[in-house]
Amino acid sequence: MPDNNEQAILEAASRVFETAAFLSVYPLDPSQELPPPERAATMTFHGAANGRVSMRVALSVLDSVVDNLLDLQDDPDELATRRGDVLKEMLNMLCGNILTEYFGAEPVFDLSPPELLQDETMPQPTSKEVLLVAMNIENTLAEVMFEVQNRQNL
Amino acid sequence: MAYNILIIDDSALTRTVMERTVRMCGVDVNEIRTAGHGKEALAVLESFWPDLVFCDINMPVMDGLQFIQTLQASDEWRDLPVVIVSTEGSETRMEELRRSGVQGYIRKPFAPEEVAAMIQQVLGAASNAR
Repeated sequence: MPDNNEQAILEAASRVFETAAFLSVYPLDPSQELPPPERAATMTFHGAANGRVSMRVALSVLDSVVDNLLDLQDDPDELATRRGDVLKEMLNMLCGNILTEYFGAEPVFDLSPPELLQDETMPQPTSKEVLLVAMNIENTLAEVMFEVQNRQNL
Repeated sequence: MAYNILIIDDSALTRTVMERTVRMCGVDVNEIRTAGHGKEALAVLESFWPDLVFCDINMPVMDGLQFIQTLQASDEWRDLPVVIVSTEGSETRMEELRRSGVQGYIRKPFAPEEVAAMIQQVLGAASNAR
């Protein structure tokens, strides 16, 4: 994949986190040590091409999204139960936006429901066409992995 | 006039955010109901008459496209205004949805202003048609 695809993923992540949750996304500064991701989720897409998008983020990012969108700061139990739903929905939005950035506005894709992963590690890539992009979200480390497994109509 | 709104999305987060957005957008809202997928929404419609439906596309059990096709096949619900709220950005799919009678499309992530403008556009047009 060419280098500008990394920028496309970064722009999609910025759009999702900034528009939906008012959180800032920056390119990763390799000299900066950031708190690591603690939760991960993955989802697949099918259609003009098949593949998978996965994301890892810090718990504090999920809590900030919940707090910004739902104002649950004073209810820690509710906050905790909402983290999984937040991660899945942010990944869902990210996947749709990456597909448009990457393949354009013509192809049609069906997206599978996002799934939470058991631990914070990324799934093993199942394709040779893989892009792993690390970024800074609210001064924590986040990673997005975009895999294209085949291109049927592209 | 106060409006009834139905929100269909498999994400509890999006349902909550949409409900809050609709309530804050300046439109006189009577009642908002929510459903997690199309089949659940059809059950809601048995006892609730919305003026506008916000509907996601990718959902389990019955997706947004199947839900819209079901409405189109119904004499009772064919003219119900439906606005799609989805992460998908395919122009091909949007054109397909427009041909299916969908009144509008909001792409996730959305700003609250987009929801307010869509409500004014769709319900304003519906009011003028009455």
